[in-house]
Amino acid sequence: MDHMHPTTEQLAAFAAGDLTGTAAQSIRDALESSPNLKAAEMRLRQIIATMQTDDTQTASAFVIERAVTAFAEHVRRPVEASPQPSLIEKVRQVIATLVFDSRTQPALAGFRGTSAGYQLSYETEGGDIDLQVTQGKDANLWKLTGQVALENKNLKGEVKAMIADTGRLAESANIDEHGRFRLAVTTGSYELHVSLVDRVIVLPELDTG
Amino acid sequence: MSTSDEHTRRESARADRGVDPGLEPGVDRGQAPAADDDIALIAACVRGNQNAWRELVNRYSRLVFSIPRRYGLDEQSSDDVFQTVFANLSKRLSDLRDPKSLPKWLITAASRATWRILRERKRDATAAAHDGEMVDADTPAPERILQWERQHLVRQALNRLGGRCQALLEALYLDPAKPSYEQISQRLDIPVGSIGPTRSRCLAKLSEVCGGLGFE
Repeated sequence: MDHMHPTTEQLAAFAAGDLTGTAAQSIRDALESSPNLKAAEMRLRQIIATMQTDDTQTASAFVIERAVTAFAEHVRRPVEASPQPSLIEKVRQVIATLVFDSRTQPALAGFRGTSAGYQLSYETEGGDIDLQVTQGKDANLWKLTGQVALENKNLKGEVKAMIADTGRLAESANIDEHGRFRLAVTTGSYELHVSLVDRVIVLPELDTG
Repeated sequence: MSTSDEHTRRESARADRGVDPGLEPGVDRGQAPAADDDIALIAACVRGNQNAWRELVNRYSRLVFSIPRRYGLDEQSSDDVFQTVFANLSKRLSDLRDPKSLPKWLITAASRATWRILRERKRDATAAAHDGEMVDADTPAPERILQWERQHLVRQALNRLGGRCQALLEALYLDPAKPSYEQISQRLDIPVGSIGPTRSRCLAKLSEVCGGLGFE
């Protein structure tokens, strides 16, 4: 063995613990004298350790196929570049996308929404908004408990529940510095307008009841 | 290892990759680095290439599915997290600011989706005591994210390696049945005494592929 320039195979044998005695010592001597060799041996050890501690699990073919076919429609229609909104429009309104509704998730054991309450999750640029809708003691009254999570944003603001049909304000509440808010509305269809420092996030088509 | 030592090691590795006279010459560099591969794959998906989308889902299925399972969700709930993450990805592909950060994006999305479920279950359990109180979303520690990214990269590298090397290394390190050398010898038709040297050769090749994929 050329102890000054061990091959990667020799380094691999050393990293795997296959070398002993003088052979191992030769490698150790070479590592001491070469940061590059040391780096290469370190990478081999990390790769071995990564495999030895691998705790990953694979999804079933059925699960994978569902993801492939169910969302192929989104991929089939290429996204067209939308015209760049003006700065004023950017500041004014951003429409959030509903990405999760516990009422439509029959597979989630113990998580399905009930008439007494359900969970909604919206995604928007730079973060998301979680909303819990629960029925009050009065069957016609609904409590909306929400939390805004945005990266590096001042989260203080105001949330308004606008009646969907008329656009009139139904209720409003403050948003605290942690992005949390709570308000109550009667049974009906609303848009929530979450007003922050630099934008208004619209949560469309919120139906209570 | 300190941050500065790690940085030095990475810079040395980048500067000398492939030219160190002490390392085995002539190693096939293989296909394009995974980062570049992902960029091309994402671009193809955005153009509507369904085969590219299938490849993308397959490539990252293990990374995504493992996260809810690690947090204790059953297979059905993990399936829901899986569908949610790829649904979001399909809508956000064209908005990805840095395609090279796709693994981190998926880890974050899967973790967030998992914690929404766990948070709701916790809320159900403690509703009487904490009416309406939201639990902060969990973000995996950076070292865990690095570990999960490395696991993903090594698996990708093994797939690229293919053949006997992939089969041997998976049998030695990834097979939960932990086969003996005798069993591996029979399965792969390798003499028992050759397993060690073959492993070294395969590890050397795997290391090269991992380096090309950005393993750090």
